[in-house]
Amino acid sequence: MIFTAREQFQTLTEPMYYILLAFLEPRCGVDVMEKVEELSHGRVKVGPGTLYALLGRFQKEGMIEEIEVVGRKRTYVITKKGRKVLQEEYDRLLQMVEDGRGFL
Amino acid sequence: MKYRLYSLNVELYNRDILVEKLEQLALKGWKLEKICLSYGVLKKSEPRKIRYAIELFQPYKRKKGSFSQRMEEKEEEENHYISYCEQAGWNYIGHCKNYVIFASEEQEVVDIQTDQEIENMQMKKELVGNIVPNIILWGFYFFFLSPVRDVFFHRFSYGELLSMFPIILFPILILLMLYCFLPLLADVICFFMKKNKKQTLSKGIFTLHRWTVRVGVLLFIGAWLTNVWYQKQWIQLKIVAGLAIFLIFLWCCFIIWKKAKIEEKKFELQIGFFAVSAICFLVISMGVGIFVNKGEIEEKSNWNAKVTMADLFGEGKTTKEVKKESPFIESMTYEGEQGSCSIKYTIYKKKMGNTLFEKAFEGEKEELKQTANMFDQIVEPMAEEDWGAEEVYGYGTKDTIIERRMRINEEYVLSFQMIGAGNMEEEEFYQVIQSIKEKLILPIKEEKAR
Repeated sequence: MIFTAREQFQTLTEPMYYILLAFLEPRCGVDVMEKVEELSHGRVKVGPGTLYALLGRFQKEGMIEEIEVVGRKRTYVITKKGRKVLQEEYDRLLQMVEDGRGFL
Repeated sequence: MKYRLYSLNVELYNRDILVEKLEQLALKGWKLEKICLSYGVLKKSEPRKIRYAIELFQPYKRKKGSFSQRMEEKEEEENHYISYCEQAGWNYIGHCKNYVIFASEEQEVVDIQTDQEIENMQMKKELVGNIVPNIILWGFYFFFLSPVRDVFFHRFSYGELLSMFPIILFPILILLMLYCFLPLLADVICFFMKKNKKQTLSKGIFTLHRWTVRVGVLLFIGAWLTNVWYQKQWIQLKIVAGLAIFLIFLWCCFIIWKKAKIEEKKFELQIGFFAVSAICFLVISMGVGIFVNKGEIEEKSNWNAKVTMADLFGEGKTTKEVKKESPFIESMTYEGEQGSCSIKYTIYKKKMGNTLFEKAFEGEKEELKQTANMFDQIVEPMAEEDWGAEEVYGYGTKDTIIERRMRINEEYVLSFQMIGAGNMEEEEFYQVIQSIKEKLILPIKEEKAR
């Protein structure tokens, strides 16, 4: 099946997770691409098209908000809802690591 | 040559193929400079490796407002999107439909789309958005505009079917529909296929798509030439040859003008100039063609356009003569008086093609049939004369006592109207019918037989 069955943001993909992490501090959209690469030690790269699409979806879901617009630069920051989703994802990933610890 | 054009008819299924073609052209020294309508303008430069990306842009919709507000917002979002890509190392070239085209000479630049799931969702949205308008458009085309419908529903006469043109027209129209429908079909199929199989299928469909229009054009020219030969309509060849020569002349003027200090940035202006000149001349040449054609008809035609009231009835006064002409039909109308009766008759002659001529006659035939009963009640004794024509339809009202539309043969239709015919004696009326038959209808039939 081509279309994923994931419910809206029930679990996050890696780019989504790192982007939300990057928005824990106010940032311009473009700076996020560099921050994601830095946070993931070069492992995760987010293309500008993917970034644009995700920023739109996060805004629509109320997970980030635009706090400043200067020319073409828009600054966003994570919202309470976004923090909650991020925290839940973090806890989920920790649980997965814990569950695997006894076997790996 | 410093510039060349490359057709960029971007669809969902052929983006990768177009990117590959552009990169190959860059290796041969043709760099994509800008997009003009659906064509990429390539400039001759040093061969080099350039990466291209053709991305589907779907703006994030913030506001619900008027159409102009939404358009403004779309432009703002597009600028925003482009700025992200430019800061990531991609250069904006232009856009074509909903697709934005970028280039980069850095081989290590990050891809614009790095998340397959997001890309799939965008493609799905685009596909769904395309399906409904296409179905409506093609339904409209098929049922209301296409002569293919006529072939299916046998609207052509037997004489029409004997000529080759509509028979060849049918596969041409199938090719045309295929050309327009194929991208949508390809988008849907390729969306659901795995990547390795998708590439082979995409390339196949891409080549087929480009060739349908080429084959269609060649077939159309062949069919048209065959029809011209069959119908002996040499005037069509003359018009088209004259048009072709003049377009070549315009192109030479354009090349000369282009060499004389034209700025590169005004490429759109140059194309616009050429297009406007070609359209103007097309209109002028059609007018000239009709004028030339008119002269030829008058010189060669022997049809009874000069039969006046006096010729027809032995006496009577012709008050008006009107000749009308279009590319498809030519007509001659006489109005006059004969005794206490006003008479108007028109002979229609078919010129180019059959479809519109037949449709005009067929449409009116149905309408006339509906009122035939009323006519028969008013002038019953006059309803059964032999008018000498192949098919005769008529009706009568209080004001128009007799109106008949008669197909004399495949090429001619006579429309006859007599106001005040109810005042005629029956014998006098039958003499009128005999005159029409002998002096209008039979000579045309004999001329055609010769």
